[in-house]
Amino acid sequence: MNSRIKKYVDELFKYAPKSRKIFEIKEEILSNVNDNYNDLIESGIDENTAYNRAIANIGDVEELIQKNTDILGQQEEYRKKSGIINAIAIGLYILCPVPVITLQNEFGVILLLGIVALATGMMIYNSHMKPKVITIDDDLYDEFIDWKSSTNEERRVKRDISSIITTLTTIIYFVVSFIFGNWHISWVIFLIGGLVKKIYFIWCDMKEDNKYESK
Amino acid sequence: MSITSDLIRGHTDTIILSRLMQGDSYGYEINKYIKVKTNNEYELKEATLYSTFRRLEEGGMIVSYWGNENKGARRRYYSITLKGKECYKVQKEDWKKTKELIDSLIY
Repeated sequence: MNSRIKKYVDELFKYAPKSRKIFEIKEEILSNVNDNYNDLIESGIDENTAYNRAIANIGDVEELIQKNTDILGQQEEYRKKSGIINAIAIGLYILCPVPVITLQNEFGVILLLGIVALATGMMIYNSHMKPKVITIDDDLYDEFIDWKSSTNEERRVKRDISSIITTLTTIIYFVVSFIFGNWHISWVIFLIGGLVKKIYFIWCDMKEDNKYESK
Repeated sequence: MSITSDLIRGHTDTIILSRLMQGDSYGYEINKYIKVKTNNEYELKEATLYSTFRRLEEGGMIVSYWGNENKGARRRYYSITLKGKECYKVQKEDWKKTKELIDSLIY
Protein backbone atom coordinates (compact mmCIF):
# COMPACT_ATOMS: atom_id res chain seq x y z
CA MET A 1 0.00 0.00 0.00
CA ASN A 2 1.37 3.37 -1.02
CA SER A 3 1.27 5.69 1.98
CA ARG A 4 0.87 8.83 -0.11
CA ILE A 5 -2.23 7.45 -1.80
CA LYS A 6 -3.66 6.32 1.50
CA LYS A 7 -3.07 9.76 2.95
CA TYR A 8 -4.74 11.43 -0.02
CA VAL A 9 -7.84 9.20 0.10
CA ASP A 10 -8.03 9.60 3.89
CA GLU A 11 -8.05 13.34 3.34
CA LEU A 12 -10.90 13.05 0.80
CA PHE A 13 -13.07 11.28 3.36
CA LYS A 14 -11.96 13.39 6.31
CA TYR A 15 -15.28 15.16 6.76
CA ALA A 16 -17.55 12.32 5.65
CA PRO A 17 -19.75 10.73 8.33
CA LYS A 18 -18.09 7.72 9.93
CA SER A 19 -20.55 5.10 8.77
CA ARG A 20 -19.95 1.57 7.60
CA LYS A 21 -21.07 2.41 4.10
CA ILE A 22 -18.68 5.32 3.80
CA PHE A 23 -15.91 3.09 5.12
CA GLU A 24 -16.66 0.57 2.37
CA ILE A 25 -16.61 3.25 -0.33
CA LYS A 26 -13.24 4.37 0.95
CA GLU A 27 -11.82 0.86 1.07
CA GLU A 28 -12.93 0.08 -2.47
CA ILE A 29 -11.67 3.32 -3.96
CA LEU A 30 -8.40 3.01 -2.09
CA SER A 31 -7.87 -0.50 -3.38
CA ASN A 32 -8.62 0.52 -6.98
CA VAL A 33 -6.37 3.58 -6.90
CA ASN A 34 -3.58 1.55 -5.35
CA ASP A 35 -3.86 -1.16 -8.02
CA ASN A 36 -3.79 1.53 -10.68
CA TYR A 37 -0.67 3.08 -9.14
CA ASN A 38 1.16 -0.25 -8.92
CA ASP A 39 0.36 -0.99 -12.55
CA LEU A 40 1.66 2.39 -13.66
CA ILE A 41 4.89 1.88 -11.70
CA GLU A 42 5.33 -1.55 -13.27
CA SER A 43 4.97 -0.07 -16.73
CA GLY A 44 8.03 2.07 -15.98
CA ILE A 45 6.44 5.40 -15.08
CA ASP A 46 8.13 7.37 -12.31
CA GLU A 47 6.51 7.58 -8.87
CA ASN A 48 5.36 11.17 -9.08
CA THR A 49 3.64 10.84 -12.45
CA ALA A 50 2.07 7.54 -11.41
CA TYR A 51 0.76 9.09 -8.22
CA ASN A 52 -0.70 12.09 -10.04
CA ARG A 53 -2.36 9.96 -12.68
CA ALA A 54 -3.84 7.53 -10.19
CA ILE A 55 -5.20 10.40 -8.08
CA ALA A 56 -6.60 12.23 -11.10
CA ASN A 57 -8.72 9.22 -11.94
CA ILE A 58 -10.69 9.25 -8.67
CA GLY A 59 -13.33 11.72 -9.84
CA ASP A 60 -16.09 13.30 -7.81
CA VAL A 61 -16.16 11.69 -4.39
CA GLU A 62 -18.24 14.47 -2.82
CA GLU A 63 -21.34 13.33 -4.67
CA LEU A 64 -20.86 9.75 -3.51
CA ILE A 65 -20.56 10.86 0.10
CA GLN A 66 -23.61 13.08 -0.23
CA LYS A 67 -25.70 10.23 -1.61
CA ASN A 68 -24.74 7.93 1.20
CA THR A 69 -25.39 10.47 3.91
CA ASP A 70 -29.13 10.49 3.21
CA ILE A 71 -29.53 7.28 5.20
CA LEU A 72 -28.18 9.07 8.23
CA GLY A 73 -30.86 11.74 7.72
CA GLN A 74 -33.50 9.05 7.91
CA GLN A 75 -32.18 7.92 11.28
CA GLU A 76 -32.17 11.49 12.51
CA GLU A 77 -35.83 11.81 11.54
CA TYR A 78 -36.67 8.66 13.48
CA ARG A 79 -34.84 10.01 16.52
CA LYS A 80 -36.99 13.14 16.56
CA LYS A 81 -40.24 11.26 16.05
CA SER A 82 -39.40 8.68 18.68
CA GLY A 83 -38.62 11.46 21.16
CA ILE A 84 -42.13 12.89 20.74
CA ILE A 85 -43.81 9.48 21.03
CA ASN A 86 -41.82 8.68 24.16
CA ALA A 87 -42.70 12.04 25.72
CA ILE A 88 -46.43 11.49 25.08
CA ALA A 89 -46.24 7.94 26.47
CA ILE A 90 -44.53 9.12 29.64
CA GLY A 91 -47.08 11.93 29.93
CA LEU A 92 -49.84 9.35 29.78
CA TYR A 93 -48.16 7.28 32.51
CA ILE A 94 -48.02 10.32 34.75
CA LEU A 95 -51.63 11.34 34.06
CA CYS A 96 -53.09 7.83 34.35
CA PRO A 97 -54.26 8.13 38.01
CA VAL A 98 -56.36 11.24 37.17
CA PRO A 99 -59.54 9.32 36.17
CA VAL A 100 -59.33 7.22 39.35
CA ILE A 101 -59.02 10.31 41.52
CA THR A 102 -61.77 12.28 39.77
CA LEU A 103 -64.33 9.52 39.07
CA GLN A 104 -63.80 7.49 42.26
CA ASN A 105 -65.34 4.34 40.75
CA GLU A 106 -64.68 1.27 38.56
CA PHE A 107 -64.79 3.34 35.39
CA GLY A 108 -61.87 5.33 36.66
CA VAL A 109 -59.84 2.15 37.07
CA ILE A 110 -60.83 0.89 33.62
CA LEU A 111 -59.86 4.21 32.13
CA LEU A 112 -56.55 4.11 33.97
CA LEU A 113 -55.73 0.65 32.70
CA GLY A 114 -56.70 1.78 29.20
CA ILE A 115 -54.33 4.74 29.37
CA VAL A 116 -51.48 2.58 30.67
CA ALA A 117 -52.07 0.04 27.91
CA LEU A 118 -52.03 2.80 25.30
CA ALA A 119 -48.79 4.30 26.64
CA THR A 120 -47.10 0.88 26.74
CA GLY A 121 -48.31 0.14 23.23
CA MET A 122 -46.82 3.42 22.03
CA MET A 123 -43.46 2.59 23.54
CA ILE A 124 -43.37 -0.89 22.06
CA TYR A 125 -44.44 0.45 18.65
CA ASN A 126 -41.71 3.02 18.89
CA SER A 127 -38.98 0.50 19.55
CA HIS A 128 -40.10 -1.59 16.59
CA MET A 129 -40.19 1.33 14.16
CA LYS A 130 -36.48 1.94 14.47
CA PRO A 131 -35.09 1.92 10.91
CA LYS A 132 -32.77 -0.96 10.18
CA VAL A 133 -29.65 0.03 8.32
CA ILE A 134 -29.68 -1.89 5.08
CA THR A 135 -26.31 -3.43 4.47
CA ILE A 136 -24.91 -5.60 1.73
CA ASP A 137 -23.78 -9.08 2.69
CA ASP A 138 -20.08 -9.66 2.50
CA ASP A 139 -17.41 -11.72 4.19
CA LEU A 140 -15.44 -8.85 5.64
CA TYR A 141 -18.12 -7.71 8.05
CA ASP A 142 -20.24 -10.81 8.55
CA GLU A 143 -19.06 -11.22 12.08
CA PHE A 144 -19.53 -7.58 12.88
CA ILE A 145 -23.06 -7.59 11.48
CA ASP A 146 -23.96 -10.78 13.34
CA TRP A 147 -22.81 -9.30 16.57
CA LYS A 148 -24.53 -6.00 15.95
CA SER A 149 -27.90 -7.37 14.85
CA SER A 150 -28.02 -9.85 17.73
CA THR A 151 -27.33 -7.16 20.29
CA ASN A 152 -29.88 -4.87 18.63
CA GLU A 153 -32.48 -7.63 18.79
CA GLU A 154 -31.59 -8.36 22.42
CA ARG A 155 -31.81 -4.70 23.29
CA ARG A 156 -35.24 -4.47 21.72
CA VAL A 157 -36.50 -7.48 23.67
CA LYS A 158 -34.98 -5.98 26.80
CA ARG A 159 -36.85 -2.72 26.26
CA ASP A 160 -40.13 -4.48 25.55
CA ILE A 161 -39.90 -6.67 28.65
CA SER A 162 -38.98 -3.62 30.71
CA SER A 163 -42.11 -1.74 29.65
CA ILE A 164 -44.25 -4.83 30.25
CA ILE A 165 -42.89 -5.05 33.82
CA THR A 166 -43.78 -1.37 34.36
CA THR A 167 -47.34 -1.92 33.15
CA LEU A 168 -47.81 -5.09 35.19
CA THR A 169 -46.54 -3.29 38.29
CA THR A 170 -49.10 -0.53 37.82
CA ILE A 171 -51.93 -3.00 37.21
CA ILE A 172 -51.00 -5.13 40.24
CA TYR A 173 -50.75 -1.98 42.35
CA PHE A 174 -54.30 -0.89 41.57
CA VAL A 175 -55.86 -4.35 41.68
CA VAL A 176 -54.27 -5.10 45.07
CA SER A 177 -55.12 -1.66 46.45
CA PHE A 178 -58.76 -1.82 45.37
CA ILE A 179 -59.30 -5.38 46.57
CA PHE A 180 -57.57 -5.03 49.93
CA GLY A 181 -57.97 -1.28 50.39
CA ASN A 182 -54.44 -1.09 51.72
CA TRP A 183 -53.45 2.14 49.95
CA HIS A 184 -51.21 3.18 52.83
CA ILE A 185 -48.79 0.33 52.14
CA SER A 186 -49.49 -0.92 48.63
CA TRP A 187 -47.08 1.62 47.06
CA VAL A 188 -44.34 -0.83 48.07
CA ILE A 189 -45.39 -2.75 44.94
CA PHE A 190 -43.72 -0.05 42.85
CA LEU A 191 -40.45 -0.60 44.71
CA ILE A 192 -40.74 -4.34 44.13
CA GLY A 193 -41.50 -3.70 40.47
CA GLY A 194 -38.40 -1.54 40.14
CA LEU A 195 -36.36 -4.20 41.86
CA VAL A 196 -37.63 -6.91 39.50
CA LYS A 197 -36.66 -4.74 36.54
CA LYS A 198 -33.19 -4.12 37.93
CA ILE A 199 -32.66 -7.84 38.54
CA TYR A 200 -33.76 -8.55 34.97
CA PHE A 201 -31.28 -6.00 33.59
CA ILE A 202 -28.42 -7.43 35.63
CA TRP A 203 -29.32 -10.91 34.43
CA CYS A 204 -29.29 -9.66 30.81
CA ASP A 205 -25.89 -8.02 31.24
CA MET A 206 -24.45 -11.16 32.77
CA LYS A 207 -25.75 -13.23 29.87
CA GLU A 208 -24.15 -10.83 27.40
CA ASP A 209 -20.83 -10.83 29.24
CA ASN A 210 -20.73 -14.61 29.21
CA LYS A 211 -21.39 -14.66 25.48
CA TYR A 212 -18.63 -12.15 24.89
CA GLU A 213 -16.12 -14.09 26.96
CA SER A 214 -16.87 -17.40 25.30
CA LYS A 215 -16.14 -15.91 21.87
CA MET B 1 -12.85 12.97 -25.84
CA SER B 2 -15.39 14.74 -23.63
CA ILE B 3 -18.14 14.39 -26.24
CA THR B 4 -17.34 10.72 -26.61
CA SER B 5 -17.50 10.32 -22.83
CA ASP B 6 -20.97 11.83 -22.77
CA LEU B 7 -22.14 9.48 -25.48
CA ILE B 8 -20.70 6.46 -23.72
CA ARG B 9 -21.91 7.38 -20.23
CA GLY B 10 -25.43 6.04 -20.79
CA HIS B 11 -23.98 2.63 -21.55
CA THR B 12 -21.74 2.27 -18.50
CA ASP B 13 -24.13 -0.26 -16.92
CA THR B 14 -24.15 -2.42 -20.02
CA ILE B 15 -20.36 -2.24 -20.39
CA ILE B 16 -19.84 -3.43 -16.82
CA LEU B 17 -22.46 -6.18 -17.13
CA SER B 18 -20.78 -7.29 -20.33
CA ARG B 19 -17.45 -7.70 -18.54
CA LEU B 20 -19.09 -9.59 -15.66
CA MET B 21 -20.71 -11.98 -18.15
CA GLN B 22 -17.20 -13.41 -18.56
CA GLY B 23 -16.77 -14.03 -14.83
CA ASP B 24 -16.39 -12.33 -11.45
CA SER B 25 -14.21 -9.26 -11.34
CA TYR B 26 -13.32 -6.19 -9.28
CA GLY B 27 -13.28 -2.45 -9.91
CA TYR B 28 -9.76 -1.86 -11.10
CA GLU B 29 -9.65 -4.96 -13.25
CA ILE B 30 -12.87 -3.94 -15.03
CA ASN B 31 -11.56 -0.43 -15.60
CA LYS B 32 -8.27 -1.77 -16.94
CA TYR B 33 -10.15 -4.06 -19.28
CA ILE B 34 -12.11 -1.08 -20.62
CA LYS B 35 -8.88 0.86 -21.09
CA VAL B 36 -7.10 -1.95 -22.91
CA LYS B 37 -10.11 -2.77 -25.08
CA THR B 38 -10.43 0.87 -26.17
CA ASN B 39 -6.69 1.35 -26.78
CA ASN B 40 -6.43 3.81 -23.87
CA GLU B 41 -9.20 5.94 -25.37
CA TYR B 42 -11.69 5.45 -22.58
CA GLU B 43 -11.53 4.92 -18.83
CA LEU B 44 -14.01 5.33 -15.99
CA LYS B 45 -13.44 7.47 -12.92
CA GLU B 46 -13.40 5.64 -9.59
CA ALA B 47 -16.44 7.57 -8.40
CA THR B 48 -18.42 6.72 -11.55
CA LEU B 49 -17.42 3.09 -11.25
CA TYR B 50 -18.52 3.00 -7.65
CA SER B 51 -21.92 4.62 -8.29
CA THR B 52 -22.54 2.22 -11.16
CA PHE B 53 -21.75 -0.80 -8.99
CA ARG B 54 -24.12 0.42 -6.29
CA ARG B 55 -26.87 1.11 -8.78
CA LEU B 56 -26.52 -2.35 -10.34
CA GLU B 57 -26.37 -3.94 -6.91
CA GLU B 58 -29.51 -2.17 -5.73
CA GLY B 59 -31.24 -3.28 -8.92
CA GLY B 60 -30.30 -6.89 -8.18
CA MET B 61 -28.17 -7.17 -11.33
CA ILE B 62 -24.96 -7.96 -9.47
CA VAL B 63 -23.84 -9.12 -6.03
CA SER B 64 -20.57 -8.33 -4.29
CA TYR B 65 -18.17 -9.99 -1.87
CA TRP B 66 -14.83 -9.02 -0.35
CA GLY B 67 -11.72 -10.89 -1.39
CA ASN B 68 -9.06 -12.35 0.89
CA GLU B 69 -6.02 -10.40 -0.25
CA ASN B 70 -3.19 -10.73 2.21
CA LYS B 71 -1.29 -7.61 1.35
CA GLY B 72 -2.64 -4.14 0.70
CA ALA B 73 -6.28 -3.16 0.54
CA ARG B 74 -9.01 -5.76 0.17
CA ARG B 75 -10.73 -6.05 -3.17
CA ARG B 76 -14.45 -6.07 -3.60
CA TYR B 77 -15.49 -8.59 -6.22
CA TYR B 78 -18.67 -8.48 -8.24
CA SER B 79 -20.68 -11.30 -9.70
CA ILE B 80 -23.54 -11.04 -12.19
CA THR B 81 -26.94 -12.44 -11.19
CA LEU B 82 -29.51 -14.22 -13.36
CA LYS B 83 -31.51 -11.00 -13.49
CA GLY B 84 -28.37 -9.16 -14.55
CA LYS B 85 -27.73 -11.64 -17.35
CA GLU B 86 -31.26 -11.24 -18.67
CA CYS B 87 -31.04 -7.47 -18.43
CA TYR B 88 -27.73 -7.54 -20.28
CA LYS B 89 -29.28 -9.49 -23.17
CA VAL B 90 -32.09 -6.96 -23.48
CA GLN B 91 -29.68 -4.01 -23.35
CA LYS B 92 -27.44 -5.62 -25.93
CA GLU B 93 -30.37 -6.03 -28.31
CA ASP B 94 -31.47 -2.46 -27.64
CA TRP B 95 -28.01 -1.19 -28.45
CA LYS B 96 -27.86 -3.23 -31.68
CA LYS B 97 -31.13 -1.68 -32.83
CA THR B 98 -30.08 1.82 -31.79
CA LYS B 99 -26.76 1.46 -33.59
CA GLU B 100 -28.47 0.40 -36.82
CA LEU B 101 -30.91 3.27 -36.51
CA ILE B 102 -28.26 5.91 -35.89
CA ASP B 103 -26.08 4.43 -38.66
CA SER B 104 -28.93 4.83 -41.11
CA LEU B 105 -29.43 8.42 -40.04
CA ILE B 106 -25.85 9.61 -39.64
CA TYR B 107 -23.51 8.67 -42.48
